[in-house]
Amino acid sequence: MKIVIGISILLIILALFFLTRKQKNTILLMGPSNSGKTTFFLQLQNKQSETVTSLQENIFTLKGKRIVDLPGHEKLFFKYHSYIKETKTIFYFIDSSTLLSNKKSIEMLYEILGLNIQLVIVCNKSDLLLALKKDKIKKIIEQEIEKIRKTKNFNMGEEYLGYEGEVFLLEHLPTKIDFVEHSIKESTDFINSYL
Amino acid sequence: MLDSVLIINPGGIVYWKKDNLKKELLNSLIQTVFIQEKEPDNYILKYKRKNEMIFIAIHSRQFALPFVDDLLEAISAKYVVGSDFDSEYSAILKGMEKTKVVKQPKAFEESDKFKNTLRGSNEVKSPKPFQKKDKQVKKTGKEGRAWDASGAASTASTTKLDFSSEDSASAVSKSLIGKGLQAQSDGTVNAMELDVPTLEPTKSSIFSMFSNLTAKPLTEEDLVKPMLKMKEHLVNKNVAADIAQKLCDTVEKGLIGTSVSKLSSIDVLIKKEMTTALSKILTPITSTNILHEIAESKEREEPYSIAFIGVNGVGKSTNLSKICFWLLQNKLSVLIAAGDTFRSGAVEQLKVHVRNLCALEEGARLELFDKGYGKDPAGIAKDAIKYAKNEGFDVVLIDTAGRMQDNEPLMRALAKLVTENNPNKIIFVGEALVGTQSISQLTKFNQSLKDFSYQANPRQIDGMILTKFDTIDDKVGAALSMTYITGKPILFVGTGQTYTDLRRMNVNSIVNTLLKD
Repeated sequence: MKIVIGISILLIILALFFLTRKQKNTILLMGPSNSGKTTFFLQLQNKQSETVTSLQENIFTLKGKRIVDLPGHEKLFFKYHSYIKETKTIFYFIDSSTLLSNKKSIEMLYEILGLNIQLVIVCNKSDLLLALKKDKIKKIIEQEIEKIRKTKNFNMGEEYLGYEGEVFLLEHLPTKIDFVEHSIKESTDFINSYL
Repeated sequence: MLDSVLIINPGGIVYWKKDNLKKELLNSLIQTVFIQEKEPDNYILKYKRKNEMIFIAIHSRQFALPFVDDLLEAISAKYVVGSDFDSEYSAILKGMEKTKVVKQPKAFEESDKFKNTLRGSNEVKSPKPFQKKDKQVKKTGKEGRAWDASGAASTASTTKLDFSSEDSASAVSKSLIGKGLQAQSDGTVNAMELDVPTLEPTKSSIFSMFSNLTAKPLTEEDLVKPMLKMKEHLVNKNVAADIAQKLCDTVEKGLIGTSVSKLSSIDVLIKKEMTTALSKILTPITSTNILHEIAESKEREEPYSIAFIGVNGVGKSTNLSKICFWLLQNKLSVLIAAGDTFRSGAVEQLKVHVRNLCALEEGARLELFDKGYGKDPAGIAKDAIKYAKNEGFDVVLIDTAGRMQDNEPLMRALAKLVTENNPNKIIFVGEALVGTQSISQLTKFNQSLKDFSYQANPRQIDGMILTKFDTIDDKVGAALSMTYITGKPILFVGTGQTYTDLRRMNVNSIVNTLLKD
């Protein structure tokens, strides 16, 4: 009798544990300002509208996953911390046409690469004339991270990405990183494989 | 005459707009007002929040358009999501122009004088009799630290203040400066750790049903007492009273109308909003990675120049030598320009530092560039930079004489130094001990740099160093006041008088320290 009670209590505790444990059901849309996150967010809902710089996050649920469009402004960058524990994938948006003159935005990416969460780099606005292809963007990112890596002090909390002594390549990281070219003229179906 | 009228949701989606502004300008104005919480330079942006929507009207600063407030009122009353608003808007606008003819004595709220204050020019409130006397800034007194006859602090914090018994590294790593700032054995400056705590909502999924039953929207009266308590708390932590007031007003604006259940307290909600607001203010907008910028300068074969400015006695020369040590540790060659040609012993002080640092750091390339006393600092700086370029130095650190912010001839001289030499970074050195003086110092320094430079785009302070951090216990409010006024980041924090007492500011621990009891 006591054994039955004991086992049922154990089962109840286990059930509660699994129910209340935070599941990884969130997808974050991050990236510098003006990279097209909010527009993409609307596109996922088959809506279209003009946008201005986001002041707070936009959230909706797609096929059971919570999609969070975070504001891109540096001062609001810290907002991702409240979602990170439940995040399965981060979509990092880059404006393919202005990356060369906006390399500072890669410093933000440095911090995200250190989180070890599956990452999809969306090379957005690929329909524009000056847009770079994803291979070129990958190279630029690797070069910038190489530079940033040299100038950071790695003591508390900051990760040293990649291997010391070798030129930095994204393949050195343990996380899975995919590159996708996208624009508003193309469909958002590629996201289905990450849901 | 209105450049832009828009209706947006805070997430960035535009419901309706009628504007002539370029997209970059529009985004920049929205960002200045809503994220940086400052007034834009050439435009006036007025807004009204209602039902999760923000109604915005923007016009050039040259015009004073008194009907804008009524326009926003009318739009927010009439707008329905999804409707075609163009015709309704034209009708409202026509109606405005008609009613302009009838002139009634304006309430203070509507006068231009009120509009020119920070509160008036940003928020459009429904016309209400002006009874907010209790929210006027009343400087709550700071508790003076009591010193007994022997000169020791007679409060219980005596032992906390005494750092002499332990070695400096562990002493500094106590409560205030969080885990991101521990001293390393080689003294290298640590990277900033941004780890803001998230206040979990107090309800779990089971209780959320109950809390929704008792939820009610917050009104202004509910918030008066708790906000006053929060303001006093901040002032006790040495935040300047004006700034504490502005912060509390912002937080209050954001909380009015949100629903709160009886199960979670108002204080928790206020704390959460305040944490967000403080993190926003303290998080830098520009990169604080100076080494990266120096590396870029090196590629262009130009020396990277940093000027240290500030009032008397804050620790410019001391912290200049700490930064010099840090740069030498990172294998850069440094030239120090002795721009303080006024204070007796200033040049000798730097000579001693140079001697010490050369002895400490083997193989370091460090020189002092000085021309003695009485010469023009702007000229010395110019010659120093030229010398650095010819000799291939990586960084030039320009020391300047301390000066009071009200001293016009000295402020002119400073502006001249900045204009003629255009240093890559202008760092304002301020002490953490300063209270409300910090507002005056920073505003007047920036104002003088702007007024006396006779340039179209005058330089301003790019970053700050907060010194004497080891003397303030947990009263870290000066960090907040200084960042709030300038909008520029605190690059370093000085925590003592040896060369390794230099830390990066940890936003998270400052916010925690400010908000904990």
